[in-house]
Amino acid sequence: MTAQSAPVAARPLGEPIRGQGYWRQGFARFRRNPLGVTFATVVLFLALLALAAPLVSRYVTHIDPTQQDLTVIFGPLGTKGHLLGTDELGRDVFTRLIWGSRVSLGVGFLTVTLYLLIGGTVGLVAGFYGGIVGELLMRLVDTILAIPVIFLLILVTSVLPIHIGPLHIEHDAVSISIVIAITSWGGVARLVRAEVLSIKSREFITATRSIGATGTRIIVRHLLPNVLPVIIVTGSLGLGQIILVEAALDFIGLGVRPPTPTWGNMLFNSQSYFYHSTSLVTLPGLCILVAVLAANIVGNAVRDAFDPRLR
Amino acid sequence: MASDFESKSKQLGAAEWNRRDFIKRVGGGGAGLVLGAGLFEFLMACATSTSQTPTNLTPKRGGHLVEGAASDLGSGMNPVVNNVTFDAHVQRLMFASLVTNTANGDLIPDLASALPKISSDGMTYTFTLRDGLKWSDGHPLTAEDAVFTFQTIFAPEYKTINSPYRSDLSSFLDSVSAPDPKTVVFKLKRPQVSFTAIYGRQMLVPKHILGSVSAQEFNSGSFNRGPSVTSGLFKFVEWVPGSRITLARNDNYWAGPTLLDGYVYKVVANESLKVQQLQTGEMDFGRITTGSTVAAIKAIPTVDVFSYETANGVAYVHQLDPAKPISKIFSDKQVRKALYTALDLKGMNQVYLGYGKVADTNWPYLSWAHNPAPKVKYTYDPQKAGQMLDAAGWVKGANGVRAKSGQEMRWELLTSASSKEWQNAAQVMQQNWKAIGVEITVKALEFGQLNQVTIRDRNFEMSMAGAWFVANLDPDASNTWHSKNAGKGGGNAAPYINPAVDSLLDQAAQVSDQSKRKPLYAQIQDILMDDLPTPPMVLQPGFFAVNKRIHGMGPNEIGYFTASSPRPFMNKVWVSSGS
Amino acid sequence: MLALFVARRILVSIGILFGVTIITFSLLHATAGSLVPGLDLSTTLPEDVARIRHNLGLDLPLHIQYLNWIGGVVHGDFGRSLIDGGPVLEHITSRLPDTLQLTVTAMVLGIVISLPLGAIGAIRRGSVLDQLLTLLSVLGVSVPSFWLGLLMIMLFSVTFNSWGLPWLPSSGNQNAIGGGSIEDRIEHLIMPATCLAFTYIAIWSRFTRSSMLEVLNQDYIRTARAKGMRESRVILVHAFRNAVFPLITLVGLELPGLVSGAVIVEIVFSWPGIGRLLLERAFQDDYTMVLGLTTFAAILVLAGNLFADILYAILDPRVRLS
Repeated sequence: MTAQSAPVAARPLGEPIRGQGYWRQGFARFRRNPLGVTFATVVLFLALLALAAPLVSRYVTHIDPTQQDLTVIFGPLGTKGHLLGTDELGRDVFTRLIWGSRVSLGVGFLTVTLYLLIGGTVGLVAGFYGGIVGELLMRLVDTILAIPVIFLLILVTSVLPIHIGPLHIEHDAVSISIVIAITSWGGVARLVRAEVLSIKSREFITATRSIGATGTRIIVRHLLPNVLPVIIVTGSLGLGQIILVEAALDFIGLGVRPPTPTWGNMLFNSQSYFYHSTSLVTLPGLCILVAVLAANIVGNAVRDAFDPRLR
Repeated sequence: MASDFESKSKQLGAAEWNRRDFIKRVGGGGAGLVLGAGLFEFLMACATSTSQTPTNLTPKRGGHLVEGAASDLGSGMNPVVNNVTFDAHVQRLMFASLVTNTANGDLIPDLASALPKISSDGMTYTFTLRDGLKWSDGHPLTAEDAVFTFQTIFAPEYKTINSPYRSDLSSFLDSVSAPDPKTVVFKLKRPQVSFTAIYGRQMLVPKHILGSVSAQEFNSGSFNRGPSVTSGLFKFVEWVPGSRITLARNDNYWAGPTLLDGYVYKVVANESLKVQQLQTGEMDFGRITTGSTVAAIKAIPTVDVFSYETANGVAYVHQLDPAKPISKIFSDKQVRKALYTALDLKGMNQVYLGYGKVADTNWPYLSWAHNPAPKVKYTYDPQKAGQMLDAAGWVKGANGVRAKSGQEMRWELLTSASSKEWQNAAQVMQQNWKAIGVEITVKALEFGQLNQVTIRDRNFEMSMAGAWFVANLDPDASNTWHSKNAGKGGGNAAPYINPAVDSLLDQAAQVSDQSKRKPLYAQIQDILMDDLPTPPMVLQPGFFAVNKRIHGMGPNEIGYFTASSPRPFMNKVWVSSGS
Repeated sequence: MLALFVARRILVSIGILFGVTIITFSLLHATAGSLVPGLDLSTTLPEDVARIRHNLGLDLPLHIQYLNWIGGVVHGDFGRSLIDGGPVLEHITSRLPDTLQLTVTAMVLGIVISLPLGAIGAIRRGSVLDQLLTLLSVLGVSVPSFWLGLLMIMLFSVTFNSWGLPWLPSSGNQNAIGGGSIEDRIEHLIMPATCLAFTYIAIWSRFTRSSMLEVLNQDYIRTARAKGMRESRVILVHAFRNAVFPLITLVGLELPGLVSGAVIVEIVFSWPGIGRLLLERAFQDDYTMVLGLTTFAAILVLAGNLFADILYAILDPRVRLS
């Protein structure tokens, strides 16, 4: 394995070797995990489907997700023109499920990216600089973590819509991603800070400082690459959980709201109609299950392959 | 989530009498609220039911009635400080008022022994109470309780009491007094024709319990969460917030104790859970809002489903403000008539699975002011509609859309995102008009937003929001069609300016004799059906489901069970088996 | 010194609690607009709305309202509900037991089922059964609990009843009339508790398995076997006992979940706990209640953390000095 571009000083004891070799090795390990690879393909497939939803509407089903047809409400599976049936307003279930994946996966990825960015930054800054800044930042984290997540989510989403300057936070996918990200970055910040503290104490950092590297440079060039694996693993483990949380919020009416179809709010609607159609209940739930399952398995595989703490 | 108001009035059916009347008096001030929560629901003795209850069983004492309701209390049980519709239903089971109403909308005496004597100048109302009235704890109920109740609403020294009707009542009530324990005298500052109908039905609160408590205690004390003393059919037993409200029979009720031992409201989260609990017997009675649920309930052998007529429905308003370009299309009466002729209203009734009623005027059939013989009638005739539009100069272009002088017949119809039935009706309109060369788009907004955009901001081309069916106990509809309410925020959203209608509305509001008012309202209805500013379409049905072991919920000689006036009814409701 | 450490930690916790209250308070009131919760605005004139708002003190400047409220909290008065006027703390304490019934039952169920499942997985490591259990475990954490709950209601409340089989009630914690007996309560508890326990079982059974595997590889187990001890005794007496402790620690970490972990399940099954109380009141704009609930939950979390920190500090002197 190749050594990283270490500073001129000799490699002291305990310096983590996090060069390109680390990533290459990790990917190799990942590729050797059959479950991981299979379900990564599933996730990729769902993502592609999500992206292609408008194309599906235009060329495959020729139906919009909000298009109603009152002559064929509660159509069962296999109704003419509606492979997976129709709902209480005659909307095509298949089309809506595909469009629903846009929200579930979109919110999932966006939220994880956001909370990794926020948490990672805060953790890096707090860990590296320490002192008053570090203390205050960690107290902020403590404050957010003091409220149970679901309580905090209900609290924030129930007061929407709010407008902060040009920013409009409402019940749509991007806003909900922001809200969930704001409530979830605390754990990442703590994790990252802990990692930074442990790395900071190692001599290679002191050595780097002694040759005059500035704070930002050290953070970006040296700390970040070493902390990145932990961040990536945390994110991949969190994706499945985030998809579940978003779906749950939709289900209680506080997440993404109709007319945008999401798997969660399809269940919110169909719970009033389970006497008329069981597939309206089973199908969206199945989609959530498959997506979360795939994300969880991939997350586990990523952790097995990349988590430095397991090496 | 549907706004509180929308879901309450639609899910719970019968509603409290709407105090909108005063909004008209104060010039349409707060009138972004035309579809106010007080959509009164009249019930007819001759609506359909799915089975007849056998008449050879004799009523007996005992048993409980469990009603499944979608929401819990929205404020509390003190009838002076709360005005949420559902809460009022619960209050009506516990508190009596001077007069009340039957299902048909007639006023009948309750705590008073007769309807009030009104002085010839219409400014003094005298109510005489019955003999031997008692509160549930045995304490006598006297005129002092009435005086106390009304003082808390309008007297200056009670300003810290949170009554929502202070402004209205104090605008015309001068004084209330009790010359003797059985007489209540109201002196008004000016005649108010609707006084008995609105304030005669004000539920009374006990002076011996609340007379000397602080305002804080009155507003939010324990009485609000559990009245210790009541005057109506039932006493309060327990409220488990989020679960249920339990009431027990009040043996001191003036009309005699009911046959039921108790009444329980159970919170049942949605329609399919209502069906499930009806099926298992966990609940006995519930109001149903969706027609499609009716089919599921009919399949349950132990439950009856009744449908009844209501005073609400779907209608629409044209943008008639000459400053707005779209009004160029709608300003021509022939165009409005043609559009209306092109609507298949019987087909639209399928939105309600056929249970609704096609309207023939803007007053529902249930209102005593409904014109029984409208002079202007319409039948569904798309061909004739096309001809009328041709004659008016709106001819089909190459793309199939009618146009005149470069303006195409295209506009946006606003409907409610909270009501599937409204959305479906809008779709029917879209299809019907497409067939005659008119292209519309439908946009669904949350109910609150819809009202705001239509009534307050007047930012619409065509909208389904607005009180285009006169759903109140008093048929006065100045709020909706009088030119003085044509400004922004007023209920006359079109706006419709017609001096003839203005003068008829004014006349009818001054006269208290029903037989004199009726022909005036008939004239108004004829004019409105000719001008069609706000064409009425279909009146929607109400449904309720009841377990067969509960008898007496209707229909019988006084109509169906209604939450806003359960009194005349309750003594007829009894349980044949179970607890 | 321990006392200094404890004092510092308590002070910090209180500071965090204030932070929580300020953030929550600002969020609720700043976005409130001109609403008066509990009043039907569509039939109330603006003058009356304004008057009632004034009577409720909602038109005072925000910082005054906050100071009034926090002053009450310090004395144990969390204010009154804006909907029904009831003391917030009373609402919370009356519904907390219902939530605890649900979560404690679910946890007990979780432990009781996880232990044998995890043990089997460890003992029969690599077998088909083990693989199946692992798969079920991953499924278990991926299933949306609200979907599972809905399916359970459809099966056990509707279908079973249609088929004439004994059925389970779908909502509430007891019957509307004549309820309250132990039987009745258990009937109502079965579905929600099982639904909630699902996730716990999925996670804890895996954990038990891995901690048992660790234990089974220890020297003293090998010694016991070498001495001729029966396998079953090895498992039950030694391996099991020592694997339980890590599980207890894991369960301990779940303790905050006793209060907040059942929100979704409470909603699906209309269980009258404080999770559902939060949702109901959030929808009704009952700010004092939402504020009170959040603060209450935060107090529990912070107290729990504090307790754990102090415990560690007592056990490990190095911590006190950090």
